[in-house]
Amino acid sequence: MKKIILSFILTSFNAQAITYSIGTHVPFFNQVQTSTSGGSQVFAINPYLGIGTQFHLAGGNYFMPELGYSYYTDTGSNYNRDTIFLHYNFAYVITNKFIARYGITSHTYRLIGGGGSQTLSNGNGSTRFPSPNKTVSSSFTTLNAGMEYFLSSKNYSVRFDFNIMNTNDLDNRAYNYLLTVNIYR
Amino acid sequence: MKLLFFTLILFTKTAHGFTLNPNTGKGFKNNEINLHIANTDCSGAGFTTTQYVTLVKQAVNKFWNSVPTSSLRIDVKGVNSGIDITGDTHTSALSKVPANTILAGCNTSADDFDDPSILGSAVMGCTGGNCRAVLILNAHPNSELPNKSNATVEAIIAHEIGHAFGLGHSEFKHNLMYFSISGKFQEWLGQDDIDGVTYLYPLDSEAEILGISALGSCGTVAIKKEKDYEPFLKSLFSGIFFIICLIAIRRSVFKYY
Repeated sequence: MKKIILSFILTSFNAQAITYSIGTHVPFFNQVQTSTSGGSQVFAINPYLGIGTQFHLAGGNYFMPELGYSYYTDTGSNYNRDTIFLHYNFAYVITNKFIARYGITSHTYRLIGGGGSQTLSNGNGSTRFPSPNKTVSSSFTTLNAGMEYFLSSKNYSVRFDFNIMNTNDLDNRAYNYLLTVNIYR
Repeated sequence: MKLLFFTLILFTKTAHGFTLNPNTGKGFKNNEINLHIANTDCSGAGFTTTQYVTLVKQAVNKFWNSVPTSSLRIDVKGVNSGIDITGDTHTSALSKVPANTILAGCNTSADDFDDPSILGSAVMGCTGGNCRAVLILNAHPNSELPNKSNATVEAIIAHEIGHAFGLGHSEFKHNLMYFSISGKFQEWLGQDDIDGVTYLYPLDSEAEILGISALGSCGTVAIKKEKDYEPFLKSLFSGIFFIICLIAIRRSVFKYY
């Protein structure tokens, strides 16, 4: 796989620009409970930073790899979490303002345990429960589909990327999305 | 000032915090766990043993087997007629469970089951590298379980299974692992539940770093690796290397044009 990607890079000689992205990453769209009535998360502010580039392939097609990092602001008492993204996206220019994006992303989701313990209710009494005390990473891959809209200056754009998790399991499919502003230099 | 205030509101943390099973502080060594139903009378809980099997399967599939960031797969094997936990305490029931297995049953006499508000409980124990767990639903004549809907019973079973594979309670009510089901409707896992099961049973395939699994690999990881931070570092460094290569290629190309 590394050879395939490397040879792909080496044969893509029409490099265009560096892209800097800033935005938010929303994991488990509409599938993580946030209220006692069964409400689920549809939006969250989890800062996302990305750096990428583009390679012109043929016609209106581009290869747009990107390295990204997201830190989750809603974590708290005994652990933190973040994600590294490796996006291998392709793009097709629809109009001079819009491009369609598609590809795969490799996610490395990290949980950073703070250790210690918590006394919590248990039955009619309370019990001291140990907190996570080590760092654990979970790696998974998503299929992506998205759109990017270029603002009038052409150096700036806004982007929406939808990530599909559990792609081989129709019943348990889950979704993330990225909403970013991008600067082309 | 308004912008600063708005930003502060947006970035204010809402707390989470999963915990681990107080008896073990860890999960099973394998991510594929067999779950057997004991040959016990669940009539006091409001269902037959056959219905219990169905409820357990639905609970497992709805909650724990569907977490995309976790490799945990619980395989519900059905009724094991060779194991009877009628009249057992948690400790004596646990001693009947085979290694690396969860046993689910009902009885009337497990610890605290004379209190009708205790709907179920679970105990996990590990000896060396082998863990086992038992979850017992309250089938005492005073049990409140028969008054609960199927969706609620599924959530109760899923909660006890969470304990059985290594989770403790969550501090926050919207999570499945909150200590009480009272006054809430559990449609999904909460973030604490997802992070807890991911922490104990992460997806740990090196192939994922370059996205190979999406192209059709098996995806089954039988045994967790010890150094769980390695995929993160590999992903970070391969990503940085990847981008540096792209930038270098871009600069060299422009140099010659």
